[in-house]
Amino acid sequence: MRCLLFIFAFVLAVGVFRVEPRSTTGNRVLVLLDKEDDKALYSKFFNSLEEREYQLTYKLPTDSTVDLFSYGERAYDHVINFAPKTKNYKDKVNPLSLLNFVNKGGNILLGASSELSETMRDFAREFDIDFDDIDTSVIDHFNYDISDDGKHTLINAKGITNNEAILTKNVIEGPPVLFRGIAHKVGTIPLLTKVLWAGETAYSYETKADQQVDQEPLVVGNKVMLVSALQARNNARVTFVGSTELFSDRFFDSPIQRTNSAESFPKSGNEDFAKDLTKWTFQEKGVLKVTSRHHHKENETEELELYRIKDNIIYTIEISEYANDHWQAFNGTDVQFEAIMLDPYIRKTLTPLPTSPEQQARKYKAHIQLPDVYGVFTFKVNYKRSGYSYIEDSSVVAIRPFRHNEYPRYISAAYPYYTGAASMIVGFLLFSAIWFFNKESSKIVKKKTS
Amino acid sequence: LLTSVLVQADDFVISDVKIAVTTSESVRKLYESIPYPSSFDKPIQLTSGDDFKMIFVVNDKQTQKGVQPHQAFLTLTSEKNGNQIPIIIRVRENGKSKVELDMKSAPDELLSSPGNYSLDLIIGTFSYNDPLKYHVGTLEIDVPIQSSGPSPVVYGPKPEIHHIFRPDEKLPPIWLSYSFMAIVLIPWVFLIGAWAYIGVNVSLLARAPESSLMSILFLGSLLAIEILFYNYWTHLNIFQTLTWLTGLSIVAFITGQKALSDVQKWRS
Repeated sequence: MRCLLFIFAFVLAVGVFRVEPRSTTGNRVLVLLDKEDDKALYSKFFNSLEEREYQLTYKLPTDSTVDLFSYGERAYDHVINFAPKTKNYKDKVNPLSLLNFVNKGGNILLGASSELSETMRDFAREFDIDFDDIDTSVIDHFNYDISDDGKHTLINAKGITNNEAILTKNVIEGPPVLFRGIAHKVGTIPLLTKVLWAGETAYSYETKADQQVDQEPLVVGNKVMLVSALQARNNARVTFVGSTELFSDRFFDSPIQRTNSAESFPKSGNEDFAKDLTKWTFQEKGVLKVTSRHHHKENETEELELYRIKDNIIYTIEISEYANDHWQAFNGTDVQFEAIMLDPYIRKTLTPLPTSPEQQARKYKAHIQLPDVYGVFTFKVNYKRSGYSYIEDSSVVAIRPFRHNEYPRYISAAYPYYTGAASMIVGFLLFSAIWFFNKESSKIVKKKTS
Repeated sequence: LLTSVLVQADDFVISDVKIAVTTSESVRKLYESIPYPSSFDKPIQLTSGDDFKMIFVVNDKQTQKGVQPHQAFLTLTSEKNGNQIPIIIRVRENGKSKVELDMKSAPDELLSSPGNYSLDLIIGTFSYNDPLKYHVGTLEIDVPIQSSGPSPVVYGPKPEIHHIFRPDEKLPPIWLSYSFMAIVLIPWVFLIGAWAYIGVNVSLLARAPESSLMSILFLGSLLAIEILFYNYWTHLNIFQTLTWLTGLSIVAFITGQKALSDVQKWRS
């Protein structure tokens, strides 16, 4: 009996104190490595992920037991790919499977290096990211760290995004990030955001000492991208980092000082940068959702499916942001409302209403006058900003024309007709009264005919 | 914490810098020798068809001998948007180098965005700790502005659209309505005038009330029917109107019959 009670209490305790995953999409992570020993290189990074309650599974891409999917569903929520050298990916984790993984909503953190194989280069091309050829590195003779070995490839990254949806202010303004790896070029699709890039004097080339640059490099200067982020249309996130060493224990702990500069930091910004990057990639940061939307005529509360042209309506939408492990009110100020019938007829910026700290979503409101075109309209809030999840919330309403009795009632051109009719009525009544009560005067001679 | 002050001592030294600009008709527009390390102070103007050439010698500072650095770029940096366009320089064994920018075969990036570009020479190589960035001068690219096709989509707030409502139907001017109102009312002048002339009155009202009771009631019911019609015009619907009308018309009929027979009696 006591044993049963104990088991019951244990089960209850486990159930009550079950930990909620920090990420909004789950905590199962698949880590792909070139070889088993690589795990020790990134021990601090992996430990910090496990402290954030992620379940990490370490596999090699050549392992035939690893499978991204299980019975048609994703078996993992996120993938960390630190296996740039491997050429022969097994089918279940090859670029095509990884692409399906992203299409089903999975997030990927891809680490590359100068030994990047063609397999992963092809994968990156699907996202409009062009990595340079194998054995090339990012070289910057002006911005390398003092602990560089002479090849000037260990660089202090200069350009960092100021998008606070992806990186926190501390990281943006903090110590620079150490990087040693391969460069990539970023395409022009709006889904991509540049996160970290090199200075104006950098370029991407092979590092053989006794040759000059004689061909135009793939990228030069501030176009040399070191870290880029892509958010797909289904809100899955893929981050491309040209240096796996960026996540290594050695770089996390290394002091950082640029050559020919007196400014030095005892610890590089790598650890905090990696933390912010994984927070964003694994959907812990910059995640938005719409909690509700309403529309109704002014002075009413009922949400109709049929409105009339030129009606004045109030549209409200509530948007919530996931930050610091809980849903809170979103702070954006440029959320726009559109009324669309094939083309937008109205586009208006919604005003955010102030919220109290306990409220989980911010309400946005606008007063709209519906256009004088009738038809089936879509009320849409299409909010796409770099770093935040995409929001496309639509409700369909019909707008009808005026009924016969909703036109202006009295028209100025009809005033003569109104007065004419009134005049007739008054004349009739007056004449009737006179007919009853008229007494003929003696002035008029009654003509009597004989 | 390393706080030693580092002297910017370049490992490279540039000498014999000469620039020349030739037009498409092979007319030499500019030929200057620039004393390194100062820059060329006047802006160098390039239009379509021009050819810009620059020669220089790069030597190792220590050995004073020619050196072939890994990176030798002539970079054009746009002052407008920071866009960088590099030109690769091939340095010969003795350190002599020649670089050419022919506007006829310049990259499209340059040809589609005119403006001022900062011209810098960047020299660097492995194991040398002090690379060189030398600001040669400013290029003024003067090409016709081309519309560079559809610009890439960037996510951001879109311009607001305010629906322009169709203007109300235009009605004739109000004074026209008022004047016709007046015209409609003019016959009253004639009516009142004629009545006054023939001496119209309602003196029979002053009689004993019983003899004119029915007439008054009849006139009252006519008035009531007219008021009902006015209400129908403003807010009633046909069903309510007909309801009232049935009642009122019965009253009018009865009182009317009586009133008219009274009048006939009285007049005979």
